[in-house]
Amino acid sequence: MTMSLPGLVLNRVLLGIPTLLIIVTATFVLIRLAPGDPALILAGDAPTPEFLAAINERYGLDRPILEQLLIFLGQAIRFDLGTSIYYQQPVVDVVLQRAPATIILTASAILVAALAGVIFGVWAARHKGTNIDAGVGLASLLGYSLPAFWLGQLLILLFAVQLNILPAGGMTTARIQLSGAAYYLDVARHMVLPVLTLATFELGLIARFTRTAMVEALGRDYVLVARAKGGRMNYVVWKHAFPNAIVTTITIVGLEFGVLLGGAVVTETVFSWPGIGRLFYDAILRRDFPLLTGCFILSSIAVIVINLITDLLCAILDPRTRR
Amino acid sequence: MAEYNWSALAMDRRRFVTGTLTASATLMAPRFADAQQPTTLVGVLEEDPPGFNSAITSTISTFATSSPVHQGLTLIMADGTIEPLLAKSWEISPDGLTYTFHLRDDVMWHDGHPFTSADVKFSIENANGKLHPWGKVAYKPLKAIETPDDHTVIYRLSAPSASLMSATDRAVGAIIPKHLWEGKNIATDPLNQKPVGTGPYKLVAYERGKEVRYERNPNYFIKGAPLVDQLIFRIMPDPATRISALQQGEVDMIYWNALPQSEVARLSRLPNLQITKSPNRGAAYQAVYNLKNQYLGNKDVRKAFAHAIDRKFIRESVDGGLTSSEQLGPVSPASPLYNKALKDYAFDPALANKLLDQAGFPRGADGNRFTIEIAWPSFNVAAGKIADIIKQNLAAVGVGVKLFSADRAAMIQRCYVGGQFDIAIEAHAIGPDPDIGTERFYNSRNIQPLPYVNNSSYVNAEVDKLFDEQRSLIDLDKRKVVYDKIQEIIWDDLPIMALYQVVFNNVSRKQYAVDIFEDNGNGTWESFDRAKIVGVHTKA
Repeated sequence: MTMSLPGLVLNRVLLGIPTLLIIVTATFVLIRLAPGDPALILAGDAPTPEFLAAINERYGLDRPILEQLLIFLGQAIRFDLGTSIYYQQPVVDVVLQRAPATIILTASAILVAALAGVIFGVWAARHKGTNIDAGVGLASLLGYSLPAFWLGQLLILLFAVQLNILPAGGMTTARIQLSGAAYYLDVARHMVLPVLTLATFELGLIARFTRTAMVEALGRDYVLVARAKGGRMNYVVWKHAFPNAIVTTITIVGLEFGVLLGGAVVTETVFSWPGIGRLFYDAILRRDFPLLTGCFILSSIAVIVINLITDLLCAILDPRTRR
Repeated sequence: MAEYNWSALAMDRRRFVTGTLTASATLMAPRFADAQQPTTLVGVLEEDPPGFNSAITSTISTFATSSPVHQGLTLIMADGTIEPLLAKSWEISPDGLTYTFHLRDDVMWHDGHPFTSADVKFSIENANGKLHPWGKVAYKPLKAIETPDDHTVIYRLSAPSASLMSATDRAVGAIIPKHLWEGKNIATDPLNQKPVGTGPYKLVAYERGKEVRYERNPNYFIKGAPLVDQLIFRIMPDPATRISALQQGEVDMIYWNALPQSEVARLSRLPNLQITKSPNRGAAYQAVYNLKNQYLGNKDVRKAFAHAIDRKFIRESVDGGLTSSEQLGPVSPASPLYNKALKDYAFDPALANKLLDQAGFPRGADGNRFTIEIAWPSFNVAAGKIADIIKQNLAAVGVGVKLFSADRAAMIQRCYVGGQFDIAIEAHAIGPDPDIGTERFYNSRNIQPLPYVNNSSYVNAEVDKLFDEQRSLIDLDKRKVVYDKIQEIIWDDLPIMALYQVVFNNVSRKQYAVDIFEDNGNGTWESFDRAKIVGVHTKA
């Protein structure tokens, strides 16, 4: 049965709600099962019982876990995700302050990776079995396998320390306060290396998937027919084969964008990028239950939304997927 | 009344400020003339601070980020001498029971309210003496705080206290404004993120994960200070990136906790950088023995371990030997109370073997006597290296070692709260006085399921008694006699094996950032009113 586009959106949104509820409950319970007490982390050396009691009472940590969960769910419906124990600020504020940095970084990286990955994938598919194909395959494998922290450090050493043409980390230049176009240019300069690091990883993956899909598409009967009708190779590749192969690529890009949003920890750490990745990691180390749950919920929502967009795009391009 | 003569010091301070001002003005004149940009010092933090209120916590990142803002009544200098700050002078009664502080009358809070004695009383009673882990020890003898007028504070003690003055510095005695804090829950109020202090800098912006920004306080009570217009602490979680940023010139200074100490040797060879060694009163690596363990509860076994563990090798190999100095016993070698007469346990595996045999733990058929576990927090690379070395040392005398490492939260829960550990290796902050930072590990009163107290479960009635006795001895020589005895007993009992004292190395741009690390002996940024910029900014 084929669904209409609005029907598809409604279906996915309705599926998203129980998904989110399961994620919240599982996260909430799992985090609290891990050993470690946020009050002890916050209080430092030889904490006073008064300090610990004040923190436990303030954050409701002295109540039974089921009660904590119910209170949390009640608040979450009103989009109140509680207060971060470590930062002592509303979780929504803390996460939303950091979200734009991660979105801009990962969106740029995925865009660069998708464009370059598609071009390389199609190029390799067209030259299947040649040195070009092997070269692209090897480069993709390398890009996909390089550890982000290592590549990041290498790029910093080369471009920041040795050549001194790009900054080593951060999102803006600290020493000078810029505004207007100069500010955006400054942010762009700071983005080059982290985007390159993230994109290298994704590029390899996207190129390989695109290549496989294109090879398959190029071997199909309709491509042979188009060629037999005298269509030029470039025309056949981009007009006939590519639209069929791109559905695979879009699915991969959508999936990877979700992965990146939740997991750009290493790249954000290496480049001191003030995004959610590092916030997530620190929240785990500090057992900051509300913040951690908040991070999980918001990145889950992001993944659900991206999946929805991916599904919609695929449905528009290939109506057979509307089921 | 024993009165201190502070006029000589005050003169020095005035001369110092005037001198540096003149020099800096000369050097910086062309910079001001042709540049609109304010002068800026950029430092690095390893993490977001949990808050900016050092009156309630000893967390290092909070100490560092509140250092430009909050101040104490005094300033403890690198050599341990105490200088006036918010208090311009003080007297201690001969019986040691009354401390009278005369406060400056020209100090304003950053929001324009005058600083008064009520702020001091409020802070000590509600924050430092109640919530701060060191303060609750240091201010314990305090019976009452009186404020006869706006600029006089009188501390009345129930017993003389040898360590009270060392808690008047901002490390333990940061003063917070009563008019903003009254009626609030100091442990958790959001005001902890928006500090209002009396210090040389005002916090103007904090972007989590990115940076903390401060601007000079134009109404600062030391005229002409601070010299630098703005301070920025960038938050850079990755150690290698911090070093790269320093070399590239984005960053001017890295304090010890953010500086990978294994990089110190290399950085010291770079021409534009300078390494500052801070006086080592700050922290020590220690192996905490759980005396409830059937083997470690045996004093002969602990003595055997003292001979089996090659502490010289540990000192010299972990972090390249630049970060450590020998420490015997529980007190820092930089403290005037350190007992220099203590004799080291020689590294002697043969003797260790003999002692273990005598203790009744002979080698089994497999050559193994027994097995213990060594735990450390996984973020602490040096502790991991130490654990590896000790494992090899103990293997040589037939003791098996299992290694356990977990993140700090899990380690605290399992080892210190749960009591499930044999040996735990960590660097412990010792604080400005052994009373504040050391006693908690040895006094049987502090056997509690909490982190960084007497987790060994060490009980020695004589040690407890001596700790109480020395506290009332204001005369340093008399106090040292008692402290010498404490150190002798603990070094003989070995509930905790002192491994080495950490020497804090800080790095800053030579000719650029000067005089920022030197005070307090905590090795952490302290006196930004003296920080100055000379010469030009260069790449490392």
